[in-house]
Amino acid sequence: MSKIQLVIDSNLENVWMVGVTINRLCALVLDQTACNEVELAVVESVNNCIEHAYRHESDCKVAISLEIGAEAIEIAVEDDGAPLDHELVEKVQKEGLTFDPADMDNLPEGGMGWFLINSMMDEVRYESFNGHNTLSMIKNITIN
Amino acid sequence: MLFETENRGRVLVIRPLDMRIDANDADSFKTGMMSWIDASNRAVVLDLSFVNFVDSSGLGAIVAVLKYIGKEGRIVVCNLQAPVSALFKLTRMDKVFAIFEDVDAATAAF
Repeated sequence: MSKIQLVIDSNLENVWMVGVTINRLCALVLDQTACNEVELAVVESVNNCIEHAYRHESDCKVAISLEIGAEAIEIAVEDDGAPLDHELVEKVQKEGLTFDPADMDNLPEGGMGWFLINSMMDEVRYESFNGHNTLSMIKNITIN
Repeated sequence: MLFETENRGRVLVIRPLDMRIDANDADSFKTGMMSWIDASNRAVVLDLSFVNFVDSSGLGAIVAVLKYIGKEGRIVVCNLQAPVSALFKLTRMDKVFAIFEDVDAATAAF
């Protein structure tokens, strides 16, 4: 079991470096498609922390830890900002992404992040306790 | 965000030169794209050949550009790398956008 933690300041300019680092580390145990999926889930999670939990306030910390085990990789994204809206989370988990592709005026320009996180990972769990928020995600390692 | 453009008859091909369209530069992507639409370009090919990562904000920005050109024009996309193509499929944006293999095929669609 190997583990690393990355900590960044809450600035969107820093997020790509987390994404690329996680993608490369996952390449040791996952195929490229799965690595890309994990990268997208992590980037969406960190963006959420910066945009929603911290409301773009800089100089706050986002911590991303990656643990590579024999059967799965586990990722935790942590912040100390405002907790996620539980109703929104449940709605997306239940309904997925609903829109009519033919109705151009009502195509979504936002609100797709949580849907993507859930779609990319095998398990997703969100906990908020004493002002500390943790999004835990698991991607199973499948041997072809 | 940096772009490269190419005129093919009345079609304008716009090629972002960054490898990522994400939350950090979604606004700059949108502003750049809208400036060409404001300059009366109504037939636009968005060539994503250099882009290997798009997040939900980047995708939202591409959708915003589609809405901005509206019914007065048309924007199609081409040269989607695997992660970008997977994102379009998963979010069903492949039903919203006309997607082509390369610039030649995209240009021929107008």
